[in-house]
Formats: sequence, C-alpha cells, structure tokens
Amino acid sequence: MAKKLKYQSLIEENQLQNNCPYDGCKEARLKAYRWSYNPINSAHNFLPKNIYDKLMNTPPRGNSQDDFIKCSCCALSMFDSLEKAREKFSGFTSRVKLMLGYTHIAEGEIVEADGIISDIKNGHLDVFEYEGIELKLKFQIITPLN
Amino acid sequence: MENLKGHIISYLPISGLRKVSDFLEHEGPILSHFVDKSNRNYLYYWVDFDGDYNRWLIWKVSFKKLIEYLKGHVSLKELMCEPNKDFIFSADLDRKLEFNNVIAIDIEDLPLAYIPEEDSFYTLPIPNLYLQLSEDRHENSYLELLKEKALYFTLEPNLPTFSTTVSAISASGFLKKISNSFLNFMEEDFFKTYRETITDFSRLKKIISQFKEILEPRVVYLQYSSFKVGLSTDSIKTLDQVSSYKEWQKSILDKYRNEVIDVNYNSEEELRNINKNYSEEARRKIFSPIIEILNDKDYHLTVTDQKHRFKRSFVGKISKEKQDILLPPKIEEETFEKKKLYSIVIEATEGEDFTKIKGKALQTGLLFSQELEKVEYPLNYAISLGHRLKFKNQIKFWYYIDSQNLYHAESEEFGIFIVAYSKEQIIKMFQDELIHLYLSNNTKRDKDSLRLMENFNKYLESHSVNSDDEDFPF
Repeated sequence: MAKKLKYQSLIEENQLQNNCPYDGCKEARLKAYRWSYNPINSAHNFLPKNIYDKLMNTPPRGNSQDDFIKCSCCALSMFDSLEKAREKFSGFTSRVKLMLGYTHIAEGEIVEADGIISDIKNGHLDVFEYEGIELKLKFQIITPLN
Repeated sequence: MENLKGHIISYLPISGLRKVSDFLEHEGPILSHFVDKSNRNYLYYWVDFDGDYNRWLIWKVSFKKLIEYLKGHVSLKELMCEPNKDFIFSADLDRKLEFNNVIAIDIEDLPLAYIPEEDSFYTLPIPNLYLQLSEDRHENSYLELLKEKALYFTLEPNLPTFSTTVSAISASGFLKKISNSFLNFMEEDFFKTYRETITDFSRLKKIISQFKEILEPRVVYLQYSSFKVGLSTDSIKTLDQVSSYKEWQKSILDKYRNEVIDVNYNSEEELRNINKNYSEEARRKIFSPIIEILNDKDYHLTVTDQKHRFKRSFVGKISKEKQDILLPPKIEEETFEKKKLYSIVIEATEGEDFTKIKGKALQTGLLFSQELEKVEYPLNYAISLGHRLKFKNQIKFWYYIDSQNLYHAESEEFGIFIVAYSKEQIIKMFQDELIHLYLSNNTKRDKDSLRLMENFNKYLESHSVNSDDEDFPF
C-alpha cells in the first residue's frame, strides 16, 4: 500500500491533488538544512506554510491567485547545504528577514522512510513528510541564521 | 503595521496587472515582477503584515533597471527610490487578494522600515527568462563578460558637504592609483609565474609590456551618486602567438582581489604575510597606491564583485605603524646630489679657456659665487634634423633645475616649455623644438605662423641644410 503523506488532507483541501506532490518527487537520503526557530521543538517549527499561517492566524502571503495553489505551501522548504541555506537568506532585506521570523538553521538527515523530496533547484528542495513522521525530532539547531 | 502618510485612493490606478515572475520568494512571494496591459513593468515588494493583510509596495520600473537589478548592478533600494515616479503605491491585500487601503506615497514619506538597505542587491542566479530577454535586447556581450568579472569600487565621501558625490579630482586620482597598483601587480605576478620558463629577460620584459597594454583596467560601469566604478580586465584578447598565458590572464584580476583588495590593512599578521610574498620594491609599487586610497581624507572605499558575493568595506585609516610594516620609511639616498645653478666670478689670465679651469686653480681664482634660481641660456646656433639655424643675435631661454634635478628650458617668445633629465638633453631638445617650429611655420601665412616667423627673423642669420647631425659650438 502506498505510504500516505502527512499533509495529504491539506493538499486535498486546496484541490492540489492533481499535481501535488510534483512529478519527479522521490524518496531519498540526504543531509538537509531548514530555516528554523530556536528551540527546535518550538510549535512553529517544521510546519508547511499553509499550516503555519493558520496557526498564526495570518493571511497567506501572495499577490496573485496562483500563489495560493502552490504545492510548495503543503511541503517543508529545505536546502541541500548550509551554504545555500545561508546564501538565500542573506539575499533578503532586513525587513523581510524580520517578517519571516526565522533565526536559526537546523540540520538533519532525511532518509527514504521520512518522505519524498522534490528536484533540487539552486540548492532548494521541498520535503513532503510521510504520515507519522516528525522531522523536527531528527534535526538540530546548528547555527544562527545571520 | 506601520502608519502611512500619503494620499488615500479608492483603487490601484494600474489596470491589467499580471505577474511575470517572483524575483524573491520563500513559501510565498517576496518581490514580484508584474506587467500592466501596456507591458509596463512593476514591482511588488512585501513590507508588512498583520492578522488581516499582507502589505505590498507597488511601483513602476523600467525593464532596463530590472535587468540591472537582476545582474546585481543596482540595488532594490535604488529601484525603489529612483526619481522616475511621482508615487509609490501601498496596498493591503487580504486573504482573497482584494486590495484595501490603497495609498499613494511620496518616496520621501515612506517609513524608514520599508526602505531596503544600500546593499540590497539581487544575489541569486538570473532567471532564464530574463537572461533571454536581455540578450534579445542586444546587450553587448563583450561588455557583459567584462562586467561579470569586474571589481566594483564605491567611493563615498567622508563628509556630507556635497551629498553623496565625490570630487572629480578624487575620482580621477583614485582611478590612476588603482590602475597603477593593478598593473604593477600584474607585472610582478607574471614575472614570478614565468621567470623559470622564460629565461630570456628581454623577452620576459617585452611580454610584460604587451600584457600591460592588454590588461590595462577598463571602465565597465559607472555610477555618479556615490562614485562607483566597475573595473575589469580583458580575458579574451591575448598575445597572438601564445595561448599558454590564457589561464594566467583569466585569473589575474581574481588574484589581485585576493592578494591586494581582500586584505585587512590594520592586521599586523596579514601585512607580515604580504611582506613574505613581496619584495619591498614590489610592495611600494603595488600597495603604496592602495594605502594612499585608503587614507584619503575625502572618501572611504567599498569593493564588491558584480553579485556582491565578495564585499570588503574599508573603514578608518591605516595607522602609520601599520603602514611602516608594509612600506618601511625610505632612508634618503645619500647618493642623491641636488643640482643647483651658481654664478661665479673668478680671476683668470687673459685669454684663458674657462672650461678648462679645474680644481685648485678654480679655488684660488674664485672671487665669489651666488646661487641662482634660473639663468638665461644663450644659443648661437640650433641644429637638428639635418637643419642648421645660425643666429646673428643669440636666442636665449630660461634654464633652471628643479628640486628633483629635472632640467627645464622655457621660452615665452617661442612658446617652448620643456623638461629633461640632463643638461645635454635639454639643450638638444630646445634646439629640436626651435628647428621644428621654424620648419613647420616658415611657409605658412596664418597669423600665428607669421608672428612666430617675425620672432625668428629678429635672430636668424641663415638657414642651411646639413647632411650630418654634428653638434655646433654654442
């Protein structure tokens, strides 16, 4: 039986099931990095953007309808290297960094049993956890973001 | 959210907006490119949010500026504050993306918190779509290549007397110093790299001289509000017959960046490392101009690469103590003999050849001497280029030696002002000038030539053509 995604209901709620997860997503084993809050077990950590917005009661961030039907909002954003994780964040203005709220980088190993990952583009990947997986328990805060 | 000061309007006065791309995004857009129905370009920049809205600043921008931003040439702040528009719009978008609280804001009324930093440059790879579009617009690919490799030097004034501008003298002085430093570095590095393989010293010098021409820093970018200049070197043209220098040529600017620019000149350790790698003479040629730049009282310097992945800001001056590590104070060379002019009065036998009076005879015959600032030097003849001018009246020119032992000859009458390294050279040069002036004006009938020939005629006895260039006695 195919493994169920942890946020499958979110995908269905947003009517994304036809193209989400994306083609090419696959199980893999890699060291990954995610922008995080400290401590790692913060309730805000390792949530897809749609869930996070609901938790924080903030409107989803978008400026066109397409932004709200993005599969990535049902996944966890990660990087395949510490350097890429830092590089992307450093390209934002102070204002944006402040609003995003992330303060640290967490590192952890993703294995095949954890979920599926998208193609890596410029060091960035989306991770779709399987049901029952709590990736943040496998990650550790390793460094502040700035 | 921040309070805004501006003109409240009921709707965004731009129609047919559609998104082209997100330049910056993370789990949603942060900076997005839109076009309106007339294909005018706009940016949406996320600046605030609360429980009901996300706030976006929206403004018009030219396509050229967008490309410059994506190439890292201009910052987001420059795009936002560019004075090409009356207003920037602020709009609060709700969960349904409906526009609320649309306000037209004068740029100067924008909350400070919303204004990006000076260094808000785009650092990600340029999206393919824009690469293609910029190529379609016939960007100069050679220039683009040089721009990609360039080092970008920004000079900001230390005092805000003239806003962010620096004086033309400061800017030109900077360009001269940095070019000299680079060319000397190039020479030193080529010599170090190839001295084992090119054993013929004169050939080595010749190649270095050719590379000095090819690699002379080129200006590839200029910005005037804070003087910013992009300097690059050619990595395409090379010496015809040899391609083995290609890799060296490609890497020389990066090497210069690493060894000369990316240095903490206030770190004793880093300075001592430089000393290990460069002789004192090389240090004077390469690093002395840099120290002068960093210690300039009028401006301070920041250096980046095109994408701002490399950045070094030089704040504060280099202390004398640190300078002395790198460039030890020069001991005045004892061999330097300052030349001066003296008028002397001597007692001598009638008919004696003064040029032969030497040593003791001169000492005993000397009545007195006087130091002169300059003297009038007389010429009875001028000879050059196979021509001789014989003067019935001596032509005189002012002759003096300056503090650097350089010889000067000046004649207001003939408009000659020349400098040379020796007495013989200056006199020869003055004659050359006279002959050249005579030959090039004696057949002309314009006012200036006629006036010059009038001057010559006051002195000239004869003009003759001579087959050899022997010297005449004065």
